[in-house]
Amino acid sequence: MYLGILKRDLKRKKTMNTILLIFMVLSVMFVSSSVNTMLSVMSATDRFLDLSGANDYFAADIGEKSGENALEKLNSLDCVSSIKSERIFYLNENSVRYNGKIAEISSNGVLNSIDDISIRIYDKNKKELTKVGDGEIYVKRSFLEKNNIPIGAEIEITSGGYSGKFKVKGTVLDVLFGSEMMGTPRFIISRNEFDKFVRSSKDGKYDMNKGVIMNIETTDISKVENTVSGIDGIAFTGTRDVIKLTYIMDMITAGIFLIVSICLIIISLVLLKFTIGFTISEEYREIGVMKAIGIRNSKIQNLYMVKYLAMAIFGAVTGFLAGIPFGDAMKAQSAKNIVAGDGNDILVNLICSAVVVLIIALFCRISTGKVKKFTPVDAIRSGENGKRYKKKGILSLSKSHTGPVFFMAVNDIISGFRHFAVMTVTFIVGILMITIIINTMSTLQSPKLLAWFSMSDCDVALEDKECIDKYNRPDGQKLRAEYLEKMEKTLAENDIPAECFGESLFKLSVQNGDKKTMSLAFIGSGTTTDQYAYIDGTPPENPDEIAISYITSDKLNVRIGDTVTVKTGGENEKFIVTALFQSMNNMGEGIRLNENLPMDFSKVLGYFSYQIKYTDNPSDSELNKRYEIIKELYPDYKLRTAGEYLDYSISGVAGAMADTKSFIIIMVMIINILVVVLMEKSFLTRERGEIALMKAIGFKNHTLIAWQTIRIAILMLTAVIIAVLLTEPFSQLAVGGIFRTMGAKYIVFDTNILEAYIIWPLAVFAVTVLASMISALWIRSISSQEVNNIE
Amino acid sequence: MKKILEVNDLCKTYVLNKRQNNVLRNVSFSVNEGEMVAIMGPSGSGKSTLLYNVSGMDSMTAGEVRFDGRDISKLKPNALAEVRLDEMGFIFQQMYMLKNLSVMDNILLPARQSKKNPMTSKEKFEYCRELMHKLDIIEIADNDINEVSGGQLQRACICRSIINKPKVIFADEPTGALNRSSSDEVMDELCRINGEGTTIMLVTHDAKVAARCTRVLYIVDGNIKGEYNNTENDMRKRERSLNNWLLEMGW
Repeated sequence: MYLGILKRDLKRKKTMNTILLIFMVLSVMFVSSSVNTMLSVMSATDRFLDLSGANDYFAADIGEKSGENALEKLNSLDCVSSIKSERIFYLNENSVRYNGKIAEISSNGVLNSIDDISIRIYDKNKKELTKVGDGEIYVKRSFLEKNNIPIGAEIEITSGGYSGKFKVKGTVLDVLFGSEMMGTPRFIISRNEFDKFVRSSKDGKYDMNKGVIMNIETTDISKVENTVSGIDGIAFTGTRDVIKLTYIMDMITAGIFLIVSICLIIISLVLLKFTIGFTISEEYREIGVMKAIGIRNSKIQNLYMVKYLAMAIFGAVTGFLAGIPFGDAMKAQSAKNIVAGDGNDILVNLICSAVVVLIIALFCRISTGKVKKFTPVDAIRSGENGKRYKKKGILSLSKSHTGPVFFMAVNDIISGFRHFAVMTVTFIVGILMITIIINTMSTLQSPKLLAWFSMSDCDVALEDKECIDKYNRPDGQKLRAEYLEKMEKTLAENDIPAECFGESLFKLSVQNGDKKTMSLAFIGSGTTTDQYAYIDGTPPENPDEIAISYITSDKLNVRIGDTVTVKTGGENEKFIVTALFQSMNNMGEGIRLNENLPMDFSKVLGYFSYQIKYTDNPSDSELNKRYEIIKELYPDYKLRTAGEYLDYSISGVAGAMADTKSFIIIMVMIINILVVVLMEKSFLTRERGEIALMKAIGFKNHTLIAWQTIRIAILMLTAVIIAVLLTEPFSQLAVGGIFRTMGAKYIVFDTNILEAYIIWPLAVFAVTVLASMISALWIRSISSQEVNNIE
Repeated sequence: MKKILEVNDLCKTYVLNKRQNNVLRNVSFSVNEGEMVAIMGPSGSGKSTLLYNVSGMDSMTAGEVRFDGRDISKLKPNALAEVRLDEMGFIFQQMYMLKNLSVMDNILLPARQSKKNPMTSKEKFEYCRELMHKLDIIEIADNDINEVSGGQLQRACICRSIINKPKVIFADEPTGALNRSSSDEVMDELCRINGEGTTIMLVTHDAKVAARCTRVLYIVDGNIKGEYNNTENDMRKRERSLNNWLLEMGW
């Protein structure tokens, strides 16, 4: 008998059963793919490091002899069990050419033979790369994208007195140099080709082009770190944790997907709870009849449990299958530079599907549980026991100055707040996903971020690729200052009043007692230390004063007023700490030296671009004019606005996030369309009688469609307003942690009002309302005669 | 007297499981302005179908219905909706109302929706209160529709049906769900409204209700089998006379 009732039920209530089934499928699909993405993202970098065979510590040395020296010292340590070393050639800013023009590699690059590399490298299909043909070259994707170099193109590499032409064969996933944040690209060629560079560089003058990367396995990282900090010529050091941190920019995207996943799970469960409650409330009349004829509560509950479980199992199987490609798409979007294992974890999908089925059973049990409390008559009256004396709405048409359609829409929302809250929550979550990613991108492109990258504010930046050749000499500091003065004069002669300045970077050993670290050191040319941002203290005004980043201060356990020892140019000097700052360079580690401290520039690690800050307040048109003049004055330099320079400095992470943004916007729109179409269909099924009544008393179809559409429009508008208000705190919560990990703990998110709060919310609003209007066209099929179906 | 409603050869056919069911077969009649006409007949005879077709709530299969000189079968859906809103009133057996609105808002809704109603919003509100006073339901104005009795709710439905001062009120068993005293109250109001000049056409199973109408149409198997004019002034005689006629018709 029960099977018969079920069969008839499934046939008769096709619309509601289909809606419920679709929600079940979506829930399983979203939950399984989201959990899979979350698990993958959370362990992605660890898995990538393990798969690549990365040991505990990496160090890279410049100079053939110093490399040998470093290896000897490290090999002598008891705590070091093995060192895999690889020969490299350093490439400077003008070493790589494409179509005769210099290709951008932020400050330097690395050239390797595939046979020398101490870690495993993967191709774009996440398969290990073991062989590179002669005349071929592999490099990371972002380098090719940045320089618009297609696969198959020919590039020319010059180093150590040799130039070779190579055909770009493909892109690689390289745990050491592959992150978005690691500006240094690694170029991988064959052993034969690499040997040509080796043979040409036998002359001692190319010694500084050569180097060694050491992949060290150790039981005592701090001992290795202390030894490395005492070796001259070390260009780069990093533990596994530091390498993981270089993926932080990649993890911003992954983190956003983590949030998306959590949001999707919340949306799925909320919708499921609502739909089950809603469909069961539609069954009350029949439940009442069954109770009236003497069927026991438990039997009735079991009947519905069987129905919902049958649907849930069918939905779970479909959702499980649909979740695999969807999860793959999410994972592919969330970690483009990482090898985090192939495909979906089927077991996770299975567990998630089973959990959703259990949740459905639980929701069903809760919803049917109410039936026990009803008398048969209460159930027949759709759960109304006649004892409700509380008014549903607080509005009154007689006091309203709006039209009746708008009034009814508002009144319905207030009267049935719980039903509409589900949709509002879904819309809020969707809009939040969009606003957070847009504001994160905007923050990453905002000129104010210059301060977080240890730079002073500027209007434009000029990149001179020959800085190392020009200034890497003992008197480089003076030469650079003179050049900047000359630049100021040239600009003034062209009616551009401006200050010109630039940053030079050293890698110095900083020590407090027995605590020691290799830290980036910034020293400005053409600036004074008061032009930079500090989070505490006063700028270092004298040459024996320094500012340190709060992360370095924590690491060395020093506070303002303490003294630290810095090894500048081979000698240890003492400096008083006068200020703390935050820096997103080198994962938050850094010190700022006073500009008057004499430094040996032959030891400079790199230079930031020349920065130009206008001293007047030019209009937008004047800014454009000046941009063109400067471009003409310095045709050999790459000119960028402050925003472009910043984006370039962080390896175009904001640009890479644009793909993620598009993916999320499309996903939010699809979710909204699905939710609106299905919910609208549910509402129309429930309100069929009332619609018929309104038609009977003379309401036109378009008026009724407008009524339904206005309801969704109001909910969507409310969602947009709430989401806009929640964007800042939720951005801090969701993405702020990533900035903090990078070294910036005081973050004010940049707000792209036009894009985040107007254009995209408006687009989502338009799509959602249009979907609602199209769904509401179903009203046309309801006849006024159906008034007799009203309950 | 002016004919407000002229029905000529009205046919309505439903097709169910490939079988034709002719519910109305060439029905013709007319209603004059100010008349109160009852439609009676056994269950399934087509009474309600006739009412819904005549009022434009359902589409006829063939024939012609002229409402105040216009053939409503030729009107487009929007024009028909306007006619229903401004020139017709409807009362149903079940006291259908929108559950999210208060009793007063339900009554006021068609008035606020009408563009032809010349009154201002305030005047509409005052008129609504006046009607509710007249029908003695002003005390439930702000109540939820679940909080009032069936009789009160049906009087509220009557208020809603006359708020736009329609030319005709169509009522489908307006007392069918009410007890005797509520039924009498509702009929008193309908008679009063009819007395004020509004034409009423209602479907009923109750001879007592039909006796209060000026004319009764008796319908069997989709055809008007007979027509009875209530000429008696005394209500008891009128009921008795109608009952005798109904017996003749096979009631």
